[in-house]
Amino acid sequence: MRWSMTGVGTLILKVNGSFKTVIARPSDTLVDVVRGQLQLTGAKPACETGDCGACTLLVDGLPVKACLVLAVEAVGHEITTIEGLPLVPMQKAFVDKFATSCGYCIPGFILNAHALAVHHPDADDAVIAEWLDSNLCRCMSYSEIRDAVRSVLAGEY
Amino acid sequence: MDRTEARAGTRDSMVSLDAWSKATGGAKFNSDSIEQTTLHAALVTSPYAHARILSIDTSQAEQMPGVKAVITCQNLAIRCGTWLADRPILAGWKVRYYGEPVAAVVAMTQHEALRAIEAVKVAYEPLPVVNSIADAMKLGAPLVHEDLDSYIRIKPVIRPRPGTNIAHHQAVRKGDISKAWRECDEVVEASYSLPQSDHAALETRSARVELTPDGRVNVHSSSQGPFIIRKNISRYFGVDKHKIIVTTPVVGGSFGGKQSVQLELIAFLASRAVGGQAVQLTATREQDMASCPVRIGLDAHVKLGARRDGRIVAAEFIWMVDSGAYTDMAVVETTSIAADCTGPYAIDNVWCDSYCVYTNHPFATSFRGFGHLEYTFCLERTMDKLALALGMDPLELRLANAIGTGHTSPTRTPVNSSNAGSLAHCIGRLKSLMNWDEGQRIEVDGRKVRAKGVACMWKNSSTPPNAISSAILKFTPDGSLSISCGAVDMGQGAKTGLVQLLAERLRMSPDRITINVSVNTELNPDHWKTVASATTYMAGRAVLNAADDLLAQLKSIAGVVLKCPEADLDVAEEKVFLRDHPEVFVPFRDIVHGYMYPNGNSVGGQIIGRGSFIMRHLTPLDEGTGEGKPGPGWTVGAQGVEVEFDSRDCTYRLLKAVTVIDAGRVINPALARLVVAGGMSMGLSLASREALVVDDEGRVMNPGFRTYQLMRYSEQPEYVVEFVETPNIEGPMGARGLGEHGIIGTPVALANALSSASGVDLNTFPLTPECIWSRRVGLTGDSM
Amino acid sequence: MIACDFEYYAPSSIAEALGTYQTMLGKGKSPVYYAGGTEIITMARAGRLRTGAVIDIKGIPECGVFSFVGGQLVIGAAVTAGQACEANAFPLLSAVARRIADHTCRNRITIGGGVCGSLPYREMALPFLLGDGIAVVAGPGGTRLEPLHRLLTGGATLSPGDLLVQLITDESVLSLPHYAVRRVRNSGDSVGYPLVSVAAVKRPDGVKVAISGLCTFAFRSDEIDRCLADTGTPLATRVEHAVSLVPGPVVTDLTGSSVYRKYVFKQVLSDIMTELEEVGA
Repeated sequence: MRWSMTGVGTLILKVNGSFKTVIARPSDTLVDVVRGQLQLTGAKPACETGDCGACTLLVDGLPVKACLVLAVEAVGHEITTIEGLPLVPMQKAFVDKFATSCGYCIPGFILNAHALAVHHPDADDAVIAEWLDSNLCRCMSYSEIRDAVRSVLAGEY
Repeated sequence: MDRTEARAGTRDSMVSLDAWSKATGGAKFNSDSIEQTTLHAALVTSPYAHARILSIDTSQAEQMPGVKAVITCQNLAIRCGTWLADRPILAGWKVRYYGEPVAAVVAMTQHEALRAIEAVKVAYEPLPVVNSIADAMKLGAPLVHEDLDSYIRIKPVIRPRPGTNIAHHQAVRKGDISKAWRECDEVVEASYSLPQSDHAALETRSARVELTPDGRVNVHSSSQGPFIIRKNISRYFGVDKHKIIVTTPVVGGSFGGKQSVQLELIAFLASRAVGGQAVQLTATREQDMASCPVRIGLDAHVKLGARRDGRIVAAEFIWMVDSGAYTDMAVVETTSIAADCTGPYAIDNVWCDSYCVYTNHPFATSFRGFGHLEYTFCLERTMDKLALALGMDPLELRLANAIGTGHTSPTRTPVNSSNAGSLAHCIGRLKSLMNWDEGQRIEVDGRKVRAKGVACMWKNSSTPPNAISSAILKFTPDGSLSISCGAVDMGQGAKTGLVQLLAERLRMSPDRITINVSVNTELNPDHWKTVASATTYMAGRAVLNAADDLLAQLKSIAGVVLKCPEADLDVAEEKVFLRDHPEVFVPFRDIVHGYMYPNGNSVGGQIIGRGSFIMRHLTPLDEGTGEGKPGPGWTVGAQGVEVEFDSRDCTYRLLKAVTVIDAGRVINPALARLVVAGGMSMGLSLASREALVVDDEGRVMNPGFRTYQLMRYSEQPEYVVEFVETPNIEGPMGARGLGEHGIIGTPVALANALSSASGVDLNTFPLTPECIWSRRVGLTGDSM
Repeated sequence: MIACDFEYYAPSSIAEALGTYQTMLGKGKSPVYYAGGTEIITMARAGRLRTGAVIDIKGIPECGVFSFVGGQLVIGAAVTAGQACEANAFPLLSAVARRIADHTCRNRITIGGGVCGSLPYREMALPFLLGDGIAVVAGPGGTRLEPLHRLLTGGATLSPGDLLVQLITDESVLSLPHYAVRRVRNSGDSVGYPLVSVAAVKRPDGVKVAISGLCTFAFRSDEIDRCLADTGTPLATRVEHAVSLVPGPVVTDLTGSSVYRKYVFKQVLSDIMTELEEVGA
């Protein structure tokens, strides 16, 4: 057995570059744990069904919806939350292009868009759309977010 | 000093003050700062839309691990509401909608609370369901509220009809309608039915309440109205207002949905049941959509009559608002719809009956547009039908009837360019931006057609006649200052606008001004509530009044320091100076915390500006005629949508959405565009796909984003937003409210475009391909 | 938040997974195999799935395979839709997989979950159905090979305790001309359950289609394929006839009514036939 967890126990998670000990149930999701135990509340539990992307985190550099990952599954992986981003260009672009509005969906959008910029620096509009369709925003028209992402990919930052 | 250097605060696209905290995860929303010791509540909700509660057995749940208390309201007589006290905090002897909270479990942890709700055993006896407005209005219909006559009427303007499902009625009678019909050359009429839908703010509603041993009630809530929460808790639980401290941090979207006071009252009872310990209650997404209030539905009949030249001389409206199980704000919207029922058109003869109707649907509250997007949908679809009947261009018809100086509103308020701007100017710009002259309907190929639809809209900021807003300005020793106000930040950017207004009035850099993000009813001065697109207007006036107070104090102390009359002084760039000798000045930092003479003697003190604003000359609408003044003025606009329609399968692509609004004065162009385009986007999402679907038993079938789908990134059209600036003399620096208006005409502009494209009369939404297709082939039944 | 508790096991071999399953079964824990978790977590949160133990198969080497072996493409059940799309070794699979849920979810959704999960759509199965895919199933009686279509259409079933390990597709299938069309409730949507999702390949003896969304199961039908292959008959007639051959009731749900689904299905079939009949013609 690689690993098992049969009840409430401690897990060691690597979050934003450092190891953190958390107490969790096996059925606790990653978003519950990073918010409830590590106070990393940038990830938002807005739907808990994987439909809105507000809880998006990076696991090993790829965006995932933290409401659909068990905390126990994240052991051994590199987790990045919005609080762990070292002020990347995507954050500045979201600010400059007025793409923050109420702010609730923004950490998820930024992490997803940042991962896109890392993995596909040459992404065209179709690839941008494919990635960003994973997140919902209710305040804005998405055009501000589009401007922010395009500007980073265009090397303006 | 060169006074032209003074930096203007307004007209700059200043970035929102909280943008960085939101982009770094630092912004704390209501559920982001829960102490480890806080208890958690979870709701038991009704699986029936209408049922008698025979019994609630909490004994098993009370024994579950971690459970501290289980609360019900079977023995609590409190009923709450906005105009009519019709809603129990938790369902009493019966449930009136699917998802209605019936009991709440308080436990050590959230999962323990969630587990225990399944152990609360509720026995129901199903009752006949009032599942539509038509059901509700039938003679002998089952009653949603049997005891309507016993409810406390919080506002005397409410007019329930006991023995029916009608909670409120507002009439408008203007001119001589029967004579007017005889003058018409063309008369068109149509019926409409629009379903309820949800606000779907990304942050679900959330409240935390703690009762301290010294009698204080600490409330933390994701609310648009912290001062309304204070008022409600005081009213229902008999607590003095000064002992109720409501804190609202940044709010993750609300759109009208977070001004209802609901979870706060449940959390209050929950905290009281556990000796006052802090209890957190956060709605799940499913509860946020079905148990918490939603957007009204509307059934309508519209009849318009015009002379051959296009002048509309008669209009008759029947509006029936689907308020769901309780009235909350839907009654106020019922009145608001009546007050603005003609849209921005000059119509001399109006007959309007607006009803607020109970059904066994989720209860409705305000939603962006406050009833206007719904009635505008019906009115502006009928306008297109009238244009067709008259053989007139739809935009020309609208222009021919555009309201302006010399006309009166349906409630007989005189209209002028200050209180209503210039619709004609907006229509002119829209025509050009939509490239209207190329035609409304253009065949692309055998299958596809490009089509455009337009609509005009207006909306008054209806408020209670005594709605207030206040601001306090406080200097730091270095001459920078902070604004304290009670308006809530929920992404609309209004508070950044307040900083800009103040910077302009004081002629200093907005970078040297801060404003409170979080609102605390103990620390911040009152603001009625952050709704009705009225924040810039009300809080802006309060801030400017406070600025004048500040300027007077600055000049007073500077007059002493500079040994001159105050009247000779002016203020800019954080200095008070002689108007004719700007080189003679005293900097703010030397006087704002008192002035110290060279020998150490000091005079003055901290300069604090205070300003307040109260609505002026508003009156409730007359019961019989509707005469009255419900708000300070209108924001008008013209909107258009262009689509590419595939006639084979009835799918379509959104190409372009345009809005031209008379903003009076744009304070921050980027934020103004953001909020208007956001409204348009929400309108397109609503009209193209959103509806709460209820089954034959009135159960909500799609509470959740998997099946209640919102528009996503890749579906967005090009957004064009333009502003006309006809100053509102009463507005701060001439500005009008903008927060809601982007949504109002967008759904019907889409429906007009699709009706034109498909050749099918589309009198409802959501306009899914199946909806259009089924009407085209003559099927009446939709999918579930 | 998931209210209920379950135990979590991450076995490192197939044998260990099977053993854990049986042990948990013996303890009355109604175990489930767990890969991407998207469906299990959603259902557990909603109270629609009760399990006392999840057995995470992602650490089993065989379940993570994505490679060519002896002229066959072997894809492990725990390979994610995102990985399959990135690798793009099976173009039809990429085309189908990249329309399921959304991009971020596809970093978790697995091939195995998409093929044998409990949602009725099972769109991920369509390319394998068309490619005569073989399922590698490990069970208490040992590892066996089952044609996938038999598993999905009732000819064979996954018994409790059976673990879908891999899917095998003959290399020759990968280069067949193909086409996939997916239609959802709303006009522009990229995300959402399908009204109809049809994948097709062109083989020497005609176009073959596999269908999801229409019924409560994903399917291939030899009758429909034969009907469509009858090129002597006008396309419109063939399509009309094909609809009558659908092997079960067409569903009405929140996505669409059965009448509309049939209408859309006809168009989709027409488009596919028009597209693929021209290929190589």
